[in-house]
Amino acid sequence: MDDLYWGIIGFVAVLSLMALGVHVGLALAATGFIGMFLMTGKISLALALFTTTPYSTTNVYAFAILPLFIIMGLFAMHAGLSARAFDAAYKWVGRLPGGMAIATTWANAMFAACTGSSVVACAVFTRISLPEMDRRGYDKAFACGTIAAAGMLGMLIPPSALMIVYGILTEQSIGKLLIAGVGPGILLTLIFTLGIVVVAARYPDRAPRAEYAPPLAERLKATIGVVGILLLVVGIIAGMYTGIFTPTEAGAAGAAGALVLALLAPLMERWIFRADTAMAASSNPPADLPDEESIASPQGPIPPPAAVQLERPGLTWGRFSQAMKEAAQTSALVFFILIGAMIFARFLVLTGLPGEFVEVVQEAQIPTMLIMILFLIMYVFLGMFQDSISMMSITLPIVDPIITGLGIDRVYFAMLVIMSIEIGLITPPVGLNVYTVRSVAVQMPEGANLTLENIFKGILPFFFLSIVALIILIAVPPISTFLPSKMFG
Amino acid sequence: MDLQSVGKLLNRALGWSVNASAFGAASIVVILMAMVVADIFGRKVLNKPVPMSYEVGAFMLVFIVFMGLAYSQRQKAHIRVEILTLRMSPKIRAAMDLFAYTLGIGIYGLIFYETFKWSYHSFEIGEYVAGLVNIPKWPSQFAVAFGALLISLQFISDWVYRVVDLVVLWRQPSSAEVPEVEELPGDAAAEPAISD
Repeated sequence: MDDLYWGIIGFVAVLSLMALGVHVGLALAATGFIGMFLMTGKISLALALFTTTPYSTTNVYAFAILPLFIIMGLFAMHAGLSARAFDAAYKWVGRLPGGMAIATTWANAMFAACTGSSVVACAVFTRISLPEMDRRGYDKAFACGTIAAAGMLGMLIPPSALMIVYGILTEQSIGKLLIAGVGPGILLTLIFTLGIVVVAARYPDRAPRAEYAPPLAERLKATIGVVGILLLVVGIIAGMYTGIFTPTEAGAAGAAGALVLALLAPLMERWIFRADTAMAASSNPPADLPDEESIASPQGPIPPPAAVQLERPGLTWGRFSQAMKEAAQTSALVFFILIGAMIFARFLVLTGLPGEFVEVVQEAQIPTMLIMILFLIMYVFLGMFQDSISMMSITLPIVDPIITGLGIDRVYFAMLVIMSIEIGLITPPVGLNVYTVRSVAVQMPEGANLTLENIFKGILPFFFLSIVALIILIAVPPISTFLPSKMFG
Repeated sequence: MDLQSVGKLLNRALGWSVNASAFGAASIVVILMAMVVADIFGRKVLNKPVPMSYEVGAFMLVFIVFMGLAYSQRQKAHIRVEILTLRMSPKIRAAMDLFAYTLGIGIYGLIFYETFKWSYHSFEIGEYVAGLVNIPKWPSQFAVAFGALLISLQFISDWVYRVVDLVVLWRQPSSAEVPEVEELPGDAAAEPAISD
């Protein structure tokens, strides 16, 4: 029983150190080290943690997936995917109530299939969608809310950095977790779409309906712009699913494919979209001028959007080396925390806290479902203050054994945790997605006087929608477990 | 040479090493991607996989992470919870930073010491991963020691800058004389931002 107290003291120590502003990775490593020393009384055992853990945490082929998927996302961004996905999505769904918001959500879903970061998605789509929605008279708060909420998809739809980290921390198949995210990702996209239609129909002033319906030929042309990336995404997911690729190989293939697309992007631009201005103008047809003549004209009534002007797709040497550096840096950031988490976890195992917890729960006959829901509420709550990776690093070494001990499907639970964490990212006070949207928006003329409160207000409907999605995920486990259970290997 | 310019010189040297190391990490990301793609192609099309690609891939991740570690600290990118720290006065914040950096120096200093001994031992006894080609383990183990050393030095550099900040902050309110206060903004060592 004494050992148990060490575990609890350990948690308190980690949280206190973090509150004092110590780097999360350091707080975990320091607690694990000192805790190990105090518990065993042997400095050699504590030092042994430092000898092997940093190496054993990184010397794993399966973990090399992380930098590979990071560069895939960066290349996809330089391939101009986001703007084109938005363009294509708008041409297909633009006529629905809230068409622009739906297009933002769908484009985010496509973008999410190439990147694993919600923050990147939020930053990119604020630049692309906000000016467009603003020009069509959308309520700015609603527009920003849509963007911040759609950013949630980045962490659900594979590849997802969070799933990779979750897999590393709980020592389960990263491939299965990635594949499992497909179902919840699609569910959330559909629920958001439905919610936007309802909001837009109920409050037409927030999201004025566009009468514009592009001819089929134009829709198809816009779709060509995203075909390459769609094929790539479907290819790597299918490859992982059928066992043709290991997840790491899927990451490398995806990165190489996205690299080719980024290199070809300027050519694509010229062949398919003729010139930049034509592309910009045709992708943003004025609602009242539906005929193609005036759309293609560079002197159209609406100037091309800033996003397209700012970010010409294509890969320069500078962008390439920047992407590589970013991949290395992000890997270092993540593993800095993971190394600490592993050191802490080894100490925690020694205290026997996780096992004891399971026993207490089983003896007290608390319903499994209740425990699970309490954990999820904890994650939503923690997500309001903390970044996802640190949160998982601190909690999963204890939560995962409990969940396993209670006989809950681990993949299913992983999806629920990630969904809960994502909900935390759109709630105050530290809704990371909301902060990102605002910090980008205030630099643009459209969002110069947006406050955080505005955006949090705009995100409210999406908060409820995501809670609905979470409840559906809890109630219907196959959404999370069906695909991975049928997976090869 | 006075102390300040020696400090600046040292910091510049460190900055150069950290950037060079990050460049190395970035290059290894490229090589990793190329190797894995070559492995897929070799295995599926030519029926000739790249030998030992799993082992080498794992080694590469070690290099990527540890060679990028110090760079991330120099960019102040490592994750901390700032909800509390941002509400503190600059003095307390500097003190908190000092505490965090001290822990960083301690932990990564120990990691350096331990992994250096370990990798040196591995080098001496010639530890390797057996396979089609025997690959020595010590280069990747040494990468851990190297990365830990570099981030320790970076923590030390950040620590020194923060001490200078703290000293300047401490003097500020008490120094009523105009000339001294005016001198402060020009004090290059007091600037927390590091630029090469």
